[in-house]
Amino acid sequence: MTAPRPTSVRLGARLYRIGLRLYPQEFRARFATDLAIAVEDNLEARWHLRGLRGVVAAMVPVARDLVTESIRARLEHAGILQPTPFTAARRPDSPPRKLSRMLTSLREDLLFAIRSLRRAPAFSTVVIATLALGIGATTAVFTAVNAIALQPLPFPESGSLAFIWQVSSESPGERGAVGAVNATDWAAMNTTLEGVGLFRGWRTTLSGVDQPDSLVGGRVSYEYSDLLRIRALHGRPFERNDDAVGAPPRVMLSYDLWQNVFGGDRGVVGTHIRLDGTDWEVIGVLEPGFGMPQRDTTQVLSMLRLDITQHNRGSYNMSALTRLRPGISFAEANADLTRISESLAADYPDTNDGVNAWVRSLHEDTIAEVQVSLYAMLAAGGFVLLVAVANVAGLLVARATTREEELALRAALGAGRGRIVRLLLTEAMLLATLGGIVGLILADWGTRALVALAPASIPRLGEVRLDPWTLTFATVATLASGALCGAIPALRRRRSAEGLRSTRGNTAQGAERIRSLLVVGQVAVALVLMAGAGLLITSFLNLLGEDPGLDPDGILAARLALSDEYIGSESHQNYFASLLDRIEASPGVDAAGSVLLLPFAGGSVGGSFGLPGRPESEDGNNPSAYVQPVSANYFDVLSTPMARGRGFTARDDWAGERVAIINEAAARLYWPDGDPVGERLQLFISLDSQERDTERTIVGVVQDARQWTLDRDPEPFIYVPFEQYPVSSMYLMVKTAGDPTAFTSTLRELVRDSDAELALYRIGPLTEFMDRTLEQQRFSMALITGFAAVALILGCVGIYGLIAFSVARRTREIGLRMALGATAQNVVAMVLRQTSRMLLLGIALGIVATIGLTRYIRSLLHEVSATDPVTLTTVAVVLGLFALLAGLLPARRASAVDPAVALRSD
Amino acid sequence: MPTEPERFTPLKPDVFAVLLVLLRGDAHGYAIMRDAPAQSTGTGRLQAGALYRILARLLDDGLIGEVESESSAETTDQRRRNYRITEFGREVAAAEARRMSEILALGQANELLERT
Repeated sequence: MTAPRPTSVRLGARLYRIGLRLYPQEFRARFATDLAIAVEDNLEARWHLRGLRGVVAAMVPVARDLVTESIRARLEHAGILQPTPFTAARRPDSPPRKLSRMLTSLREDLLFAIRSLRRAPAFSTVVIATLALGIGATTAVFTAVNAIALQPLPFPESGSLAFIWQVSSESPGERGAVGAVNATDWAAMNTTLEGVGLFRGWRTTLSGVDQPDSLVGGRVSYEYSDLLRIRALHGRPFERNDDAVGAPPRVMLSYDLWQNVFGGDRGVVGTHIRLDGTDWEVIGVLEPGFGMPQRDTTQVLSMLRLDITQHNRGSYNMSALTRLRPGISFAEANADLTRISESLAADYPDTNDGVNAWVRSLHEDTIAEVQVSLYAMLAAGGFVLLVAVANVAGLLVARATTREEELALRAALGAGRGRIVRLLLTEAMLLATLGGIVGLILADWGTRALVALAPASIPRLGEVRLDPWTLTFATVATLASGALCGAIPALRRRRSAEGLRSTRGNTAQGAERIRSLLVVGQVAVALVLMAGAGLLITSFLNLLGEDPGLDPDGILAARLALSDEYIGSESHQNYFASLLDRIEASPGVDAAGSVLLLPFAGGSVGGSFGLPGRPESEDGNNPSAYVQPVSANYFDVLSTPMARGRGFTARDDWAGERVAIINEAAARLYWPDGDPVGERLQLFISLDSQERDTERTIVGVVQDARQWTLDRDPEPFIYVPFEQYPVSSMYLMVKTAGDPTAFTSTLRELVRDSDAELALYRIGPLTEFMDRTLEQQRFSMALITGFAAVALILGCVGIYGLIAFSVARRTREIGLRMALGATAQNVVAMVLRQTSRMLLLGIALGIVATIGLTRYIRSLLHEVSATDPVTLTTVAVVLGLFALLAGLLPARRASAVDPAVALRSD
Repeated sequence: MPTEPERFTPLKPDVFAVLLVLLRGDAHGYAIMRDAPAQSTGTGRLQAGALYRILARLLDDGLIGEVESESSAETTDQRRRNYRITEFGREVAAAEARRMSEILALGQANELLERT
């Protein structure tokens, strides 16, 4: 083994590996590893010869080679350029002389810039670091936003893929589940779609292996598989007859599952595996990386094998995927489906009145929820870059001022005005390029950090990686920063390049004015960022302050799905009850309850219900509510108090009278004037059959609790004892005295002892489930607050630099004032007045910009207005204090000036 | 491959240099870069990207082949791919050498070499 390689070599090789993405994919697949190794070897050899200098010197031809060869490879790949022949060609004519002269002078400028920057290492380091921070931050966020929101989804011709949602006329923007019967009609009657594929999520338990494990995946129709062009890596994809009613159970495995559980053995294709206690034939392995749209993971895929005649037109429990025919727009497809929906409503008014279909592009549907926060983050990154650029421009202006005499001398000796401007621009470009290179490394780390820290609810995180787009973006950001930073001092130079005549005082004053303007801009941009951060923090605190209506502490939750053999049997009803008894009997357990859908765990089951005695609505507008089968002690476990009536008891079992408890939201909505306790209701659909549930008596009203997120207001709920309303899966909730996670293994054992083919999934403390609903807000808040902090620091550095510069320039004046009787306080006040003028202007501009911009993040805010005066004032005060502090340091130094020394200075 | 070696001549100096290195024995990418004599192309040392473009073409045209890296003393790293010149590659290199010596003979006939 060789000794560990020096850092500079590893860094260089790492940069090269990033740069390798410039090559076309095919070439990369063939040679990228070897290329990287060869370059790393080369750099290491140079390091042994000449140390760090050797590595840096070797990087230049390596970079040139990378750029020219990758461009050539891409052109060859695209067929624009013929592959280079082996035979030696005639040498091209030498380039025109003008070009060669320009290149020579560029080379001279570059060498000069390198020399002069090396003479000011502290200045160069600060500038490069500042730009690297700005470019790195923006590029990292861009990489994420680009991969998530801008790039097409990883499916063939993904642009024409869409979901069809069923929507009701009351809530047209809410994506509702689809009825299989309706979808069949859409497929038959449309003129705009390639087909309609149906799918449902699938949770199944794999047994017959070392450890039974719960798998996620989907049950899909053949059309779904066909529309997504699902292919098999081994074995075969689904065929039409796999989807027939009564076809044998067949399954495709994901690549990862095949690798991890079946050791990548191709022999598994054709054999049978055991899912939910049934044998399934493995027909194929999915391609690596395949995942159903909008699912975190897809481990298994099987066919729905729907018997459409057995489905009720009024029951909706599917999702639908479609693909537009070529040349069809989403508007046309939507119009087509609206026409069909209207005709279905006319034919089946009972079920289809007010029911419409909504075709929504897969891409839009996937990213809609995170789009605003993504763009807010991108904007925040861009603002950080702006502040960084303003800072650097200020520094360059200052530097140009101190070099006034040198530059004037050059002009006097015959350097043309254009040449001097070019010199300054070259210097800025060189700095920006170095900043861009370091920024790219920061972006690489930043992107990894973003992906690692981002909440799992953000879609497509797995697709985020540095790619050619990243490089392009970083290059553009670098060039733009260099041009902006360089243009400001260079343009000034153009105007005042009058030669040696110009006195230093005048130009320095002009420089100060420009720098003041830059500082004003920085303050304004920093304020916008801080206001954004402040609003998100306020919003987050408001969220945390919401009363969930339940106490999640000390509760361990886990989902358990029974296998098919339980369904409908007697053991079905008894299984959960006896399991809960056994859990409750374990040491350390205060109580054990269960519920169909755990609060904060997502999902919903609901439907309409009737109120016996009141007339049933003709137009289908019956009362509706979410339905939750629960254990009798559900409300005790969650510490949600009853508002009226009684809770469930052990007597509310299968043999007992049919009962229900409603929440206050339902009571307010449907019994606004009276006491619902003692009233009766009837759920129209029971979960395991298409028949109506029996009539139930309302025995109590429970206080409202949040079910999904802390910012979603309570909605009507009907709770029923699970013993009277059998379901095949439930969340177990175990209330313990100490740390609930300590009970995890015991809970697993208890379940395994009860049935070795069952597996628990989604195990975790209820507090964690609740916390996860806040992840996204917390993430955007943290990121934007981080950016705002960076902008604040850069802004303060800018103010400090300017005031220090200005104070140094006015040393004589200050000395004179003090000699004439000004006190130290007078001097400090004078300097602070200068700071406050810029500050006030910057804050004023910032507030105007904030009011214009924060409305774009309104959808991210909870219970706080986008122009909340308290937040804006707080932010402005904080910014003002920091800025004054930055100005105070040089001001104090100014007040310590010894007049006698100052007057002699210059 | 039924192509005659002369179809590939005159060889570019870089290509010839790569073949010359491989004539001495199998080598991986960096070794070729290291050992290829600096040519009169003005660019100095052969860089990785340019080298692999040449290797890609040589592979595609059957002048060289890939070999499993043997665990010889020098190449302990299993990730490296080694390249070996094919019989056809030898023929092309020989044809190029022949061509050059013919030119050389032409030069000698004109007493060029003696004069420099």
